[in-house]
Amino acid sequence: MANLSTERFLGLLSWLDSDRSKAAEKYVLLRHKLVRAFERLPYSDPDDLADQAIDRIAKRLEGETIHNLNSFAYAVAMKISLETRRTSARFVSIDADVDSEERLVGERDPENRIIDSMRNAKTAHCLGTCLQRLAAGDHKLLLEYYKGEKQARILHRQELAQKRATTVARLRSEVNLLREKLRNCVNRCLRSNVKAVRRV
Amino acid sequence: MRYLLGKLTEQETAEFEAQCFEDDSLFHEMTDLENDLLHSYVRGELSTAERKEFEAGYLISPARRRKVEFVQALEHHLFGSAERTVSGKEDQPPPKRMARANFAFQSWQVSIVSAALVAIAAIAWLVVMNYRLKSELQHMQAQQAELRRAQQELETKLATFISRQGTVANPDSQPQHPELPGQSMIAFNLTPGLPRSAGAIHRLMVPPRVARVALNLYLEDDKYSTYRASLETAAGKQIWRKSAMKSRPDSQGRRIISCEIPSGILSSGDYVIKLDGIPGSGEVEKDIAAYRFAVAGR
Repeated sequence: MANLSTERFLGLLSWLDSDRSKAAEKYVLLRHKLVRAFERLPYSDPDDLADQAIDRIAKRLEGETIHNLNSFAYAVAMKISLETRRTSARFVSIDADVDSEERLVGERDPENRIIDSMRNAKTAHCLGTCLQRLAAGDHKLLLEYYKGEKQARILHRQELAQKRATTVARLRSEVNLLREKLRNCVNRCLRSNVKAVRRV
Repeated sequence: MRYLLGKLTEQETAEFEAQCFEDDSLFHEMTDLENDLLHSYVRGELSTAERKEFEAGYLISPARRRKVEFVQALEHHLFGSAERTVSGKEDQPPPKRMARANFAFQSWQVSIVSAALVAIAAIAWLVVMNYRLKSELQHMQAQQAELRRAQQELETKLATFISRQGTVANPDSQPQHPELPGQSMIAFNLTPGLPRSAGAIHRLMVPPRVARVALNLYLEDDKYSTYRASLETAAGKQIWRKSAMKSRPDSQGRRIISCEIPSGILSSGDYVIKLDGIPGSGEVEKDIAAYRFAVAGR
């Protein structure tokens, strides 16, 4: 969200909902939808592209009246996807060459393996930090929600929804929101680590 | 699921994504499904085929591969630490392995239950089939009895009809098979010897639609290996002949020769069948018996 000014961001939030808390939830959901739309694209960062989309949407909201934000957001996402595909088509990814080399040799590049394990370790560290920041109830909710296997998991969720006096659909959206916040937290943590390394 | 595994066309994918943008509940449902799929993959709950499908269709971008890493880390934090806390044992199998062990145990249970269900279904099917066959057999036996009864009834009616017509002068000349509608053959029994009077002659009622007339010739003495029969009119004209005929017993054990004559050669009038005896060796013995009869109704 590098290009989005605070003023524009607040404008977007107030457009989404007059209640600041609800607006924040709607913003997380909108961004989540955008991230997902970009996930299938190769050689790109869905979070960066989602930020670009948010920026364009917020800019448009300043000058025009948008009746259906969801439709508009999807159109923006498709436009950015198209631009990204065009741009990435001009480049040959080094990763692609490495992948094909791996396939030819049949063994994994040791350097990649080390980088992967370092990244996994960082992810694990950041996730641990972010989970600690969660409220105890939220941590327990995640634990309960993903407990069990397949059918047992579904039945368990129904029981969980009953215990919390809510519906399975509401419980699902609550967990998805929580999970998305967690993922964003981990991403921020990973980026700050990279910046810290760069500063070093 | 088809969307997640990349099985939709570009057009279908675009339409579905647009729907997900519009419909929050659909988006949450799809996200939930995706997260469950990721957790199942990481826990090793997927079958080999499902895993391959997932890796080929879902893991198509670095962003999605990072999601798997995120879920691996989340599983470790949520359940890896939780299990250690609950059990307090360091030698507990990791969640992934435990999940696989549970899965294998469940598969074994499912196999046993499936086999039992199949056996129960097979037994039930056999019982039903047995019952059905028994019912069919009983039904067929009842039908057969009914047919027998109807046949007897018709025979009785026919005998009554013939006696009313006065065609039966000798009980032996009664037709053996009743004339049924559409039947093409009628049979009569004839005894040998010259009749003592004209009134005692066998009178055979042969309806016009009957195609063949069977005459059962009773033998007084069956001592020849084969016989030769010839049919003559009252004027002495031979109109039919057959050789190499063998005797056979009737229902009461009496020896008879059966001749099947085309009804077309018979018209109303008097006839005689002459029988020649042919021994195993030696000469033919002519006119060993004669059977006189009269045909009516032609």
